[in-house]
Amino acid sequence: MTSEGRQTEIRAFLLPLAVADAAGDVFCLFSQNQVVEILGRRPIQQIPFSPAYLVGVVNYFDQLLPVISLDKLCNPKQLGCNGGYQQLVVIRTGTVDPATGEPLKAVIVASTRVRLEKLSAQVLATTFTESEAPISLKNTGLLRGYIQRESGGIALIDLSRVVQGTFSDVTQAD
Amino acid sequence: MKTYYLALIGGQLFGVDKECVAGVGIRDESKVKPQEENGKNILPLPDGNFATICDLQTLLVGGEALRARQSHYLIVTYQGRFTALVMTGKGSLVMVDDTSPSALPPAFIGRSRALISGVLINCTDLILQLNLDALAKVPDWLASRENCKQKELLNNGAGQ
Repeated sequence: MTSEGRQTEIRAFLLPLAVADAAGDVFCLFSQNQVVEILGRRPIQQIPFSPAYLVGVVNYFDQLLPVISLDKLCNPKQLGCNGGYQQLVVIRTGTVDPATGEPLKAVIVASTRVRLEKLSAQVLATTFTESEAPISLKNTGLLRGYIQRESGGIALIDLSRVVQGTFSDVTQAD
Repeated sequence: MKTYYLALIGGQLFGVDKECVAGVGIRDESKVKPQEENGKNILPLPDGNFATICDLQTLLVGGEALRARQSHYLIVTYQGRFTALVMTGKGSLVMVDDTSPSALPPAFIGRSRALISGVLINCTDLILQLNLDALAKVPDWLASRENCKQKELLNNGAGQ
């Protein structure tokens, strides 16, 4: 590969999403810069009265990070499936704590293993098309973009409101 | 360093300042039967007082599915009110440095933030510090939540 080719190639992490009203597979895309680390199973401390999409907190280098289930966020009315996960993806959310100004990280639950894909400029230009997102994804109000390719849809989700505590999900409110 | 009483509830560790623990009782309905009052379950205490029963396990994600056997009550007293926390096992005492507890991440708001005043990191364990003022309100919150659910069910039934 030429140096030019390497420059235009991006690495992305694709996290499979369970979206009830999607026709095919749907993945949530995180850029390589967003992903801090992928962790295996570890204890998650649950917090009473939290909405179902906030699975709990984990201790990550003496920092408490919220653990978020994107599946629950996208399917708030779906009950059950609280059990297993395979990986925990530590991400930078790109936002800061309004009180302290600290950058906020979050941990995303992956029920199946996260995929790493290398996407060249050519692939990005030819195989992806902008597409209408499934309604449940749109209804979250967190969707930044949705693109489609043969193997499934790819969603870009902005979690800044969730980690800042300004996201209100009426179906989950106590 | 402070002595905390640790209660295991739904597989999670909750910590209460030992000074606020009035006692621990076995959860055995053949000996002490809970009573119902204004939609809340109350437990008669030996001294004639009553403790409002609080089952935090029902509030945890998958609480119903992962229901562990909850064999004891932790009787907590705060401002003259008693709360009986349902827990698994007898609990234990631990000395913890509680001078700088970690706050919950900002994602947690509302009642969860009110109830958990801080998180103590004790080796690999995370201990959730219970705010006793909020804990005393939990049975009311649960009762109102149950009422809302029932109204919602009724409304859904009427709509169909």
